[in-house]
Amino acid sequence: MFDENLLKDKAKESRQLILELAHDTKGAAHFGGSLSSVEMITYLYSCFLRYDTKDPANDERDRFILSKGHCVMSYYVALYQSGFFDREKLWEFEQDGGPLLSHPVRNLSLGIESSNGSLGQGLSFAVGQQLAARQKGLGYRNVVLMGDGECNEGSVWESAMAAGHYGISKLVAVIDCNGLQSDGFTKDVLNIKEMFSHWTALGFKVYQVNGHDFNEIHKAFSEMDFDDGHPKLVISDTVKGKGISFMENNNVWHHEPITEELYEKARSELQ
Amino acid sequence: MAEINRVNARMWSMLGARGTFGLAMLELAAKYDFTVLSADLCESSGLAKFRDNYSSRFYNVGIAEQDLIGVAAGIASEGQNVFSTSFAPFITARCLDQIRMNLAYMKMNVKLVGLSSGYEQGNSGYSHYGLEDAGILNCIPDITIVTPADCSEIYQCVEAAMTYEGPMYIRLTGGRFTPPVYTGDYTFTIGKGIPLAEGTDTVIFTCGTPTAYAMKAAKVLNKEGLSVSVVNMHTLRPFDTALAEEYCRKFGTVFTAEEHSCKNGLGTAVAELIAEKGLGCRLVKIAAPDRYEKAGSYDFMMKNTGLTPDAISDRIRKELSAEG
Repeated sequence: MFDENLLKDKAKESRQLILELAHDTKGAAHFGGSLSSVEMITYLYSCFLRYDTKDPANDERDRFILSKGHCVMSYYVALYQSGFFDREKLWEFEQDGGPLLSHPVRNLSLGIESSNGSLGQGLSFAVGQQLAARQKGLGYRNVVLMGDGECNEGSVWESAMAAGHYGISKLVAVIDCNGLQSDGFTKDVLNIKEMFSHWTALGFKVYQVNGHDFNEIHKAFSEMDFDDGHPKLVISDTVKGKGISFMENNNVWHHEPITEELYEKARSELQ
Repeated sequence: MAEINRVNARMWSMLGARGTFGLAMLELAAKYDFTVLSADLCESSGLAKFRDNYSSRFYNVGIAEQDLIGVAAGIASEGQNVFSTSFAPFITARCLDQIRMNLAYMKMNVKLVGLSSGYEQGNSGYSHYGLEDAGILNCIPDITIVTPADCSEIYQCVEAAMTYEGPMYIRLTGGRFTPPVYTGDYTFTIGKGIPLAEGTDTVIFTCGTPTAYAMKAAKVLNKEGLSVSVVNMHTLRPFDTALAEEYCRKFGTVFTAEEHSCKNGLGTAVAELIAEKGLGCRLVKIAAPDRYEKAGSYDFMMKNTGLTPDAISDRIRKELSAEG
């Protein structure tokens, strides 16, 4: 199931499609966070999450919540790559009245589990889905993708406390730690010092990985015990704008339109 | 359906709004499948017995209202009807964006129960009053908002919420010994106002505990020869515009009485209706003023706001005589 080369190919295609989608919107797009989360989302949909695209609302499906809702491009591409919809549908991205806005809108038939875009809310929703699983005796898992900037939101910590208190084993929170947020480096905007220990203190089992290294990601997820009474947290260290040289660690590309010239440059880099 | 009779009405009235709510949840748990969440106010919500008897259907998330809403939405997304409770300002203003995103935007089947709304918290002051709760939620699309008139109606409303699909706010006003409006059987339907008294001179649209006071005021005025209608507009959204219009068309001046801000509550709903339909009548709103004033006991606040029976009758007398 785990095939690093195949994953790398998918990640490469993902970055190419992100560039095409962003370019074709003719407007600003969230390049930075979408590009930093490519490997993690690719891995989750290829190797970890259990789903049936022919029965996308199946009760037993694993639930993925994109809490950092602005990073939809890598998410939509993963849904396409996984077979939730065809490639053509990707081009409904940001189309008037369409289902693929620049922040996710709950649509189970497309594999979109929840509406997001207002930060700090996905983890609570996932805790609720896990409590419901207990009530119904179902064994599905929840993965929530958050941003490191998103952890500024107090509501993240409210839900983290609940996850720890209820010992929700089948919950994996992933923080895409790309070190940047809208106004700059996270350490400058609001330095929370030590991501790791905050979460262990609340009862989480914490893993730290290079979020661009499939082997490290796979190792972490393979080690998880989903009946151990602890929620999981993956600190995924990444580079914002990963894969396109002029976007890497350059926060201009948090949300920005791309010129034809830079589009061509990015395209050639991603070949 | 629990029978509404004098004995039950008196018992519920003695239990008060929260006690009746808790009792309704306990009694209805055998018949309906639902989950209850609290943000560390289980005892205050009258839910201790429910928690003890139905522990697998009850979660306390701690003093964390934002999480309360998110967790409720997550459970509801799996097909459960979820009741979330806290004091009125904390379950509305404190977690408004979670309500907007999770309940309204995703249309989740969550019932928010705002405890001790209006002035019920008395000397606790404005931090604990529920004067903006309905108005705030009235700006967020797709949330049904109900303020039951008395404890019997609280029971009815809670039972109606068991089979109602979608986000809903149940706003509990009044404390213990809340005067009953209903002592006999009647039909409560979400979104349908209920005429309680028919008069020929004016109408009071009301909801929550002021309903009983409006009825008292109407009785006093009737003895003086002023004939006053009273309509229980328990549901702010969807607003029963047909019924309100029918009464507005009859009178030159109409009144609203509510234990809520003068902004975006019942008074505003009637004002919008009058303006949009061009009904032409004058509206007198009896409601909390648009400023924070000196706070105090429930009686002190109701008096200052003009919501006691005497104050309501005085106001109607004054406004109608000024009209000539």
